[in-house]
Amino acid sequence: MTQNRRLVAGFTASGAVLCLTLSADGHGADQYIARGLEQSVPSRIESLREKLNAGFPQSGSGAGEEQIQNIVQFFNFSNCKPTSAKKC
Amino acid sequence: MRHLVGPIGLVVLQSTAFCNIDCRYCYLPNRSDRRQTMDLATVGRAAQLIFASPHLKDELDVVWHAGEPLTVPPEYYSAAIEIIDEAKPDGLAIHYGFQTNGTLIDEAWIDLFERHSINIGVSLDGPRDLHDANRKYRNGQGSFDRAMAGVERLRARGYPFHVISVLTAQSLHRARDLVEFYWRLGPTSIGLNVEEVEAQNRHSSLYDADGGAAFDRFVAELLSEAAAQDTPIEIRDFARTMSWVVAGKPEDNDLVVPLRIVNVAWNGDLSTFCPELLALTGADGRRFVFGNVRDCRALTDILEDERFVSAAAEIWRGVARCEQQCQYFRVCGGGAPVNKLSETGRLDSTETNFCRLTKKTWVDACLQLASTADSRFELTRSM
Repeated sequence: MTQNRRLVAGFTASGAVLCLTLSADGHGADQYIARGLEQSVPSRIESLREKLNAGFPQSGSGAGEEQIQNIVQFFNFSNCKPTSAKKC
Repeated sequence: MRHLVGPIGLVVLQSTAFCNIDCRYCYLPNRSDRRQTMDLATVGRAAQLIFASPHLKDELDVVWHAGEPLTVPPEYYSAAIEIIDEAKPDGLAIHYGFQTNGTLIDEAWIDLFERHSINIGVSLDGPRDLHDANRKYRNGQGSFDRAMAGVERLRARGYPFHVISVLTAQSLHRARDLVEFYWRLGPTSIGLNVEEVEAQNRHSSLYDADGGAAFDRFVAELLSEAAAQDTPIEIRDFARTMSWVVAGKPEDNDLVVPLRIVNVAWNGDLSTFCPELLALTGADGRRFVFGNVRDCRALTDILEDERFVSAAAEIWRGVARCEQQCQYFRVCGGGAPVNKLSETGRLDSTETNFCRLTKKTWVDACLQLASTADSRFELTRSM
């Protein structure tokens, strides 16, 4: 049995880890290249938020009781964060 | 966004402008000058101004950067941290950090890191050939061996660190090598910067590379390789882009909101917006220093400085244009002023190469992956 593939997609305020899980099948690099140009970026973002909310229906913010920590710096170095939040 | 000020989330302190290595792509103009070191009185005055500000929140990151901080001895930072901790208001949690080239890390440094739970970022461009192609000493010798010796000391002590890699055109065919290399080191996070046209660095191999298609391909390959590893490690750029996409708002762009980031140069000069602006001189000779800790009665004095007023108006015009023209605005908030200025000569311009590589490519990759039928989000307490 092949294992699913996972990418760390973010952290929550309490230090939990949000992962994007992908099927082990059919994910060569070609499938990671962006497509979907028929839809605008805002509408694709809306679809993604809907998908996240569908997975965690308890809250409008996306992850049940867990508020996604929005790490928004553009910086060229990672910001300081409590070490505990970085330990997966 | 024009009306927003703060809150202060990050203070960048340039303990020294000097660096013991001389990377080909570095933007700092005075990195060979050992004399440019911040004295402790300047640290104290900066702390007073910042802690008296009404724009503080309950947490603050303080990062020593913009020069190699470890060329100043550990005792300096012990004293600086003592000064800052004594001056800080009750209830304020400060997280300290160093961004270092790693070459000088020894046991005494790790003792200091442990004492103050300092967040450590090591700049490491990948396997030896990629790293040494650009990260060289002034005698032309590569810095890989010494940087890796520093990393090995951190690993031997079990001290967590993240890595930041600068991608050049040479990196674009090496996604698998990079993933294998970084996964072996076990950092907490991997940040992928791009070689930028910025201040002293007037050329980027990446900006010439295949109009961005090669970079898109690289990101796809890297994510594919990373997802296949047994142990997930955060790729900073994927995670923060996904966070923007999931929960971001345009006003989260800290680079265009005054005082979200406070930059203090070695001599006490103050700036805000992008940290790199401190080192930059515009084509018309203008600087982006808005005051000095010795002259300001309050941190907000810099908001009344004519140079600030002029720069801020130009930055916000650029943000407004981004909002009108770019469908990525919702998850970007108007880009990075220092890159607009470095690439176009203006702060009020819109799309840059930096935008394309660090924002659009990653947003597209996140949207692509999350929209596949078999992908799903999961929340875990541990990996």
